[in-house]
Amino acid sequence: MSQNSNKSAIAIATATVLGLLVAKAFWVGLDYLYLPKSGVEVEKGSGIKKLYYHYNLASTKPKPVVKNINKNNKPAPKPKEPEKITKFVLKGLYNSKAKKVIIVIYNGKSYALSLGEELEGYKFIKLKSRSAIFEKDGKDYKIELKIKPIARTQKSSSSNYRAPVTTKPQKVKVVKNEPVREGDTTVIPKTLFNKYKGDFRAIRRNVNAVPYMSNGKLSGFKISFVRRGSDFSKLGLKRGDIITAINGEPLDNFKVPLEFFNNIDSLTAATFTIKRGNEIKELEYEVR
Amino acid sequence: MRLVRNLSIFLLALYLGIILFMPKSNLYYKAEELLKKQGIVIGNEELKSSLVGLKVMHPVAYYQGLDVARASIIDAKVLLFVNMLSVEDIELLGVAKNLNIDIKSLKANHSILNPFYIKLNINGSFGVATGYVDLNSKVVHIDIIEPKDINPIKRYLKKAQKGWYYESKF
Repeated sequence: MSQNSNKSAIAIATATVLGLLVAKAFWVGLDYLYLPKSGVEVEKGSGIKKLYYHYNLASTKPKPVVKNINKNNKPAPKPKEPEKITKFVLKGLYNSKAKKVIIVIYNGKSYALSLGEELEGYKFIKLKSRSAIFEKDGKDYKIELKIKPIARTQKSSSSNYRAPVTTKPQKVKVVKNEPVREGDTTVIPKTLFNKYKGDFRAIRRNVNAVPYMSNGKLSGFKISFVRRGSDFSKLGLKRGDIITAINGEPLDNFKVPLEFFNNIDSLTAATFTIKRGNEIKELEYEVR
Repeated sequence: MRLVRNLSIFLLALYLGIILFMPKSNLYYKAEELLKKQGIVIGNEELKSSLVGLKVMHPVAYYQGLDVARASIIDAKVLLFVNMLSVEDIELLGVAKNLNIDIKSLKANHSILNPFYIKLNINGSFGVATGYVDLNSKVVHIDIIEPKDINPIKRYLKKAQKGWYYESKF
């Protein structure tokens, strides 16, 4: 009788231990072969690139002059200065390690160019603190920024950005509290901008944009509605326009618009690339 | 008879072993990897394993690197046949903050009897809602059963005879 109960207890214990061992072996195997040992780290967004009258002054400090003295005490020959392109006007640039973008005015239209992109056969190959270097037929060309920085810098969301102004302070033509065209740029009065910047309901009452898919991929945001006579209708946006990029950043993911709205408090200028029918346009805005 | 008894004990021990020895934190890391493919990352969290589950304290959800929501706790209980996930005090951040809603609690229940169906219970500033996620047809359906302040989210809702509901495909 006691032998039977002993056998029974041993069988129960064996079954229990075996069950637990199989479970443990299963998890150890799965853990070793398939499961990661650490979590995913957050890569925070760096904020949307700011363009137009914004550039990185970190590299504009005059570099110490290093004289290259050879054995005969003759200075080294100066490198040949690239020719200037007169038909292009450099209106703004963004210079960082990750991205180099310029805004170029050509034939009255503005173009956002990233490093390596071409305009009229001129390939944008290098960005300096205040100029951009192009290449065409093996020859270098350059265009320079026409505006000068001021000593006092306006702090923005990213320490890389400084807001320079023109040598002569521009007269602000904004009289009414509504967007005003100044050349290629639409100037949005600060008060008007502040009125809308945090009020998404008010924005949606006046304008709406929906994701625009091309070949199953997000390729921009289509303006589905603009209220007639509203402040937004004066921004140059029309129903059916597809916003394909902001400040040269393609809208092929939700990160760019989300960053744009997240950093809207510090926005002073922006360039929207839009597709209207078969035409590509750049809409430039400045908040003053 | 003994064989049946021993087999039953073995299966019971196996079931308990699978729950107890489950590498909960590493499974959570795997879930994080899968979410990252969708652009979602959970950060700032502190993990606390328990016998039958995992508590994720103070998680912040990031979408494409931007913070979109924060919760006080995510409590997951895994019993294999029945699994539960509850998220408490969800606060929307960044652009999502403009929705002007707070979610006090979100509970998701999954049963092995209906493996492609997840039942949802949500309590927020917009009221009380119930719904489901159908993994087969890839549909999320939420019915607002006791509406309070639905104005901030009205544009995302549809109206039916029973009341307001939200539905989307993924």
